[in-house]
Amino acid sequence: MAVGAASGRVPDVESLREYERRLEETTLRPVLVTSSWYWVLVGVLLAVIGVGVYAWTTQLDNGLVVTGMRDRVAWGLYISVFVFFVGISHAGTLISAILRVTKAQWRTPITRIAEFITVVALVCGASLIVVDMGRPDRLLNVIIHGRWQSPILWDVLAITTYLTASVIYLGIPMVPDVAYFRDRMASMGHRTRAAFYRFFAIGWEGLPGQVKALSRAVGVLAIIIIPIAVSVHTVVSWIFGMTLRVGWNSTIFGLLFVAGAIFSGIATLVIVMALLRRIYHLEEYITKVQFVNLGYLLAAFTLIMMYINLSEYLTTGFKLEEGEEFLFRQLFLGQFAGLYWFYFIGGLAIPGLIILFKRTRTIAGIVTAAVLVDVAMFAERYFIVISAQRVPLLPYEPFDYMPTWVEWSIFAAAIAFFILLIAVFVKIFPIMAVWEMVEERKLLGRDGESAAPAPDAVRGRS
Amino acid sequence: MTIATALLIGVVVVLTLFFALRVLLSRRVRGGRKEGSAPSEDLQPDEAILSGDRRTFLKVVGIGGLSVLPAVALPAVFNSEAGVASTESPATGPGGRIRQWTMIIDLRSCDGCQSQDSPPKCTTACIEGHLAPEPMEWIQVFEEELEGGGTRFLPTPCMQCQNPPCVNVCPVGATFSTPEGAVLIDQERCIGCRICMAACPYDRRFFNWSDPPIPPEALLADYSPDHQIPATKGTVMKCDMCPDMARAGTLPYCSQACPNGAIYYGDLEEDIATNGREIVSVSRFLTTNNAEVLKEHLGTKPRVFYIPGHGEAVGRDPFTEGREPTEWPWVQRVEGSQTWSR
Amino acid sequence: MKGALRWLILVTVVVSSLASASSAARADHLDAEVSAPQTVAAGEVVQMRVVVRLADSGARVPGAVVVASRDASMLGIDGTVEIARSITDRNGIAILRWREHSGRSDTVIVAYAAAGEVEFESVPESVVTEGLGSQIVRSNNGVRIPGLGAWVLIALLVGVWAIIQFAMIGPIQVSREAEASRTIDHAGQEQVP
Repeated sequence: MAVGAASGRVPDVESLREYERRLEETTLRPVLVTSSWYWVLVGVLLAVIGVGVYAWTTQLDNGLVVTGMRDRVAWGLYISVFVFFVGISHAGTLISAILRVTKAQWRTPITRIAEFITVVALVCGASLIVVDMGRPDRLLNVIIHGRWQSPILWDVLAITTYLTASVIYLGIPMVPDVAYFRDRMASMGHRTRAAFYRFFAIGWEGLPGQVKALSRAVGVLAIIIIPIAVSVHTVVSWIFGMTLRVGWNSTIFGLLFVAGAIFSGIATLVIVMALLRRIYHLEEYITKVQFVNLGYLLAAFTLIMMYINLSEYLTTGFKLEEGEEFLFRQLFLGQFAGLYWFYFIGGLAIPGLIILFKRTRTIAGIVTAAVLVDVAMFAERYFIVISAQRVPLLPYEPFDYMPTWVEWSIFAAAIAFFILLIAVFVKIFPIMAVWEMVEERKLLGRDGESAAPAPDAVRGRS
Repeated sequence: MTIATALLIGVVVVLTLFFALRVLLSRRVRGGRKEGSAPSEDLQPDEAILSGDRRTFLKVVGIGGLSVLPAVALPAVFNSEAGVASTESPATGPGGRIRQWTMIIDLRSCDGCQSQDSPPKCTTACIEGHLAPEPMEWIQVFEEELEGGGTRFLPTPCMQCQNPPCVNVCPVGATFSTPEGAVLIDQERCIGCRICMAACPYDRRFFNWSDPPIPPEALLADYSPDHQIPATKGTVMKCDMCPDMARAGTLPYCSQACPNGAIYYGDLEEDIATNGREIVSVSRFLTTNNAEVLKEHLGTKPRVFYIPGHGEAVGRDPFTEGREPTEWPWVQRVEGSQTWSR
Repeated sequence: MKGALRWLILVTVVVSSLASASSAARADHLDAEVSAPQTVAAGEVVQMRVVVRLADSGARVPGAVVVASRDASMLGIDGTVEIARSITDRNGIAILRWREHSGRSDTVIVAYAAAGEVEFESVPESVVTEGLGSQIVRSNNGVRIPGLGAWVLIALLVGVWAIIQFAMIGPIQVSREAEASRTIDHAGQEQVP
């Protein structure tokens, strides 16, 4: 990697060209070369999705009776997965936008991946809402008869806005990279492909006026997308927070959900990033810096999550209003205790410790922590949704909810769809923000600082 | 109306802004760029095939359209304020004032039909009258433990809240408050999202998890939210307070069927209620008997009131526990009917 | 609904000898003097002053129970409903107070019974009401906060969308720039030969 960097010299034009060329080749490789393993993966994913589609047709034929949900636990796995996916979607845009606004340069190689996770997760999450509806054929009623006052409509509006903004935010910074693809495809004689990329490249030629216009658009979007992202998961939490149920009737639900969303978003980003890095050999660009910095963010969020949990459960548990005791028993001692303590110990404490100790703060360690966090956050979404509904509202026996094969199949299909979309994306669009990375390197060069992103190199200089 | 207007203005503002800026920018670009800029070196040969102007226009429309697309969702909101499905014109009492239906359940007279050796007759009559699919008990009789160890029976219809959590959260206005004070559901509009079930603090809402059994006579009924016949798969149902029966001048099924006259039904506006035998002034009856509502602290303001008791007026000993299980006799008449657990 | 509605209230005065002073009183020896407002509209609080006296001596009777009731009908069931109840004070005066919910014509008969007996004597009393009054109980869900409504959400949404649209100027400009440069390019090519 960057040869002249360690010595602290200003990278000359030649090495910058070299860097750019290598970077472009690396990004183009997934599009040009496809291994047979890829098709195996796609086959497996399609099979899983097929099973899910079959399960859904069963559900459409027979009604939601094929699920484990009933009147007293009227929302189950679908809604939990929806909340989880919308949470993951914060990976992306929020992280990449915040880091862009704060000009954290290490984020450049991973922004593209993060932004794409956002779009894909939102698509998956929104489709689960349709699956959960009793009358998906009446989906348009939400538009025809929609009421501003309903949290569901807030959700529809927030998610539509977020999805649109995310797609644009994904697309605009990608224009120069797509333009490069366009040129390469044209020079290699792929006319159809070139035409495809030409559409997305909107005539990018790297003209100074174009650079200016593009940067301004990205700047505006990076700022507006932060409040939009915060609003999205706040509003998702209000689906629950706007009810009178014990366990949901909470004022800090918005905060809990947004923090959890960013938390699981970072974890998902770490996992996807590690996989793509391994598969497409991005080691030169996605280095330990990205992992460690995201790891620090994760560690910070484990503490934030613990704090919010403390605030929520101590304030309600101290007083133990009607129904709270039932909720607490099932959550901490009863049938949700396994999930809860896995979430708290396996999803908050252990990942935090992994990142805390230098010995375990390796790429492998951080990825392990991220996997733990993602699984735990899914468990958290699940027990938040289910446990509150299990509290009896009148003198009756609590209903035990257990998802059926239909729900599990659709859940698996949603995950498979998520992976499939990312796999397809990788084969079509540049997975790294080449143009931005080169621009930043130019800037670094001008400032007379080290062009190398690796901390080891920086340390070597000083 | 005001909302529709505000919305239109909003959409117009956004679009105007968008196009105005577009025109403005394109002018500036044209004016400033004509000369001076170096021709791009790697211009593709086939790029000249299409006329530049149209191509750019198409691209702009393409990308711009992508972002405007979800704005289509905005008209959503046209009949947002009320969003109420139509019902018949409300019943009026003396002086043309709108009836305000109310229900008073005198727990002193409710023994859960222990003395009748039958399932609670209010529930059975309601099931028969509304052809409610199994396992829906729109007026369900719970046995509740009292301080001291005895029990009381608690018939629970929909509380017809005046600050209804279900109506507040419904995204499509499928559940709504009528001017008569009842909370109804339009099963022809309901999308089955079940947020109303999550929001109801009384567990008084029921979902058609599957194709509900429908007897032939149900198909004769002209569907109305007032009686919810026939039931529809994937929609929510509940006690509707029988406003159609009251309009026709009869008591609801539950009140008619109660052997002890424990269920009073009447009009808060005229301040009169009856259980089919005697007639009372609602305000005096509620006040002098220390009436309560369920979960008052939630602020839902129910229209269903309870006179505390445990069946003492009909000779029930509060330590006699148990009641007969509810039955859905009509469901057996429907061939191949499907039921589910609650 | 302009015409005055005429109606009469039936007032039943049940007098029982709770107080020792009037223990000798009998229904046919009692007299009730009722004073009520001449006009009552629905929704108004009605106060009816009843003075109970011994018919022969005219002495006032304390501790007598006075009940006002009226004929009513609901969903096919007819009967008499008690609408107010009171006890005469030391001066034999009772105040009957209720919120008027009716708007119908009724007949008023004042009747009274002696202590320990259920024997009624009645004297007609009439009150004329004008105007119907307006709806007393309303079905209004939720709380309305002035100025707060869906428009806040609409404004917010429009604002956010306007900013997103504003950002879309970027790609448009990029496209325009390309076109401009292409125009120059074509022009240049034409001039070369």
